[in-house]
Amino acid sequence: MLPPTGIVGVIGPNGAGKTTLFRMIMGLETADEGTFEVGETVKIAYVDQNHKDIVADKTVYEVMSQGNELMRLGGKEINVRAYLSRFNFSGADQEKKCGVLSGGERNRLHLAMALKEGGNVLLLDEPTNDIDVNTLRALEEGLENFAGCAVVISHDRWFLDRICTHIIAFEGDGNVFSFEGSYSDYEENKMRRLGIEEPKKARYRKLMED
Amino acid sequence: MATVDDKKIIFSMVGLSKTIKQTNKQVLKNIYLSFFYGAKIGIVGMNGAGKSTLMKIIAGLDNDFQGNVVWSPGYSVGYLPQDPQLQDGKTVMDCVKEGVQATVDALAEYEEINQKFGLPEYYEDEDKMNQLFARQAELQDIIDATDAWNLDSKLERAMAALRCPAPDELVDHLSGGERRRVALCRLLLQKPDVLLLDEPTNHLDAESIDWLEQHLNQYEGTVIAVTHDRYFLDDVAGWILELDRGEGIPWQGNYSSWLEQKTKRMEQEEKSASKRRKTLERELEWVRMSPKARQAKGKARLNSYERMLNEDQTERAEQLELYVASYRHCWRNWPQRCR
Repeated sequence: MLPPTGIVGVIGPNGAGKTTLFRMIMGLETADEGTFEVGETVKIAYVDQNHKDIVADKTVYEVMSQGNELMRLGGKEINVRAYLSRFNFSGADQEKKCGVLSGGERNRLHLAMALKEGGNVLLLDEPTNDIDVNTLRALEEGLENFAGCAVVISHDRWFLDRICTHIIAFEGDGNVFSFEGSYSDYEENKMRRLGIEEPKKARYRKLMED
Repeated sequence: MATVDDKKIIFSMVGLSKTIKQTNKQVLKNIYLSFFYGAKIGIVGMNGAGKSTLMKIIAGLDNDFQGNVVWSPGYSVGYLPQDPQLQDGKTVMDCVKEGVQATVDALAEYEEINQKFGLPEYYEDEDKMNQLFARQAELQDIIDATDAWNLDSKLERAMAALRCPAPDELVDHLSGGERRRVALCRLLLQKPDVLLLDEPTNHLDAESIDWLEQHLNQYEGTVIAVTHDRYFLDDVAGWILELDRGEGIPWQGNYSSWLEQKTKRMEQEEKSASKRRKTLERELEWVRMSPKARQAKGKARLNSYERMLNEDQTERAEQLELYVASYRHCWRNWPQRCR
């Protein structure tokens, strides 16, 4: 059960089923067993990596504005350029074609698109990849102030520790462990469950013996 | 280590500038910096601030710049790029062995000499035999010194530490993450004096990151890493080099200490707190919290549903550099059973 103001970090190796979980939340895939219930008023905000509006030869501004200088957001009208600048897109950056964006820029554009959609459950797939520490910090604050539920796939331990109230961990062989607490708390819990009690430092083995 | 003089300068940048030709943008402006032997340095900065460019210049892969990079003689450099190259057709073990090429060559030559002992061409000629004995003794010393007689099991241990794919697997079909592990393993075995790492923790699992942090902490040489991983910067870095609008600003200390110094400096420079400074202060506040206080903060959020609903979200959001919108109207209708 996702709590209404929970921020849930989803962790685990690639190919373990994290993206499938997202597709199930969005109703694009069904569970083999058990049911997946989504509250009636849940409005999901999600932009996947192959979003149809992100066209390589259109500029960031064109993609975002769709021809309108103003956009509606949270019941207010807001200028598209002002909105984009909040995602650290300078005036010049907004004129860049989508095809030439760096990984970090692409991620920020995805985030801006996802948030424009409106919604109360935010799904973010690896928003922390290729983003510099200043933007990461701002993203953390943004999520802390988001009055809703967020489900975030990320590998960034600091990010997860700072904002997550819950962790869903894909631990391999189809095992999924859900945990209330931060990433570090989860790691500690995992060690205990697996019976590894010695402190981390003691487990270090040198690359080669001297 | 006690024997290592960490105030020895290994190389210096003298008036280093770089302009990207295609965009005519100056990414590095007149940088003067000296790097100590054994220093652990984390490089941070915005996308496009020239971090990778700086790494390539240090690695000697980019010579198209103004100014000089002056090296103390005799030092080696090793570089892990974001997308390391492995030669197709080779196995994981072949690639990892490249990291200990000198030892591999010594073992091969030792074996070759053993074969020659059985050939009449050699055993019938005393001079040739003596030459072989002398050369074999030299090789034995080299192999003894690195205790490389059971090299394969040693390499397998190194590969296990970084969770490399199976030794006999061909590298042709490895995923990006697996290639990075193999390349990192090869590079660490080379033990260069200056280790340049571009996003070293990307694609590594928690345990490999933990292992890497400890390995680098006791690494004798200089480590320079471009990374956004703040735990890595906190646990490994003794210096932070911030690249900002072409300038390189060095700070002594790890990430938490950088936050502290940076906040303090902004405090002195600004009359009223900027958004940026407040954001830094809030992160610093979080860093300083005890684990208990952090847990309490998470709980508070879960219980704050009503408060968040009623608060003026717009005002709070306005204070942010990066805006995450709120949709409190939607929340009025959240199903009762979930509340």
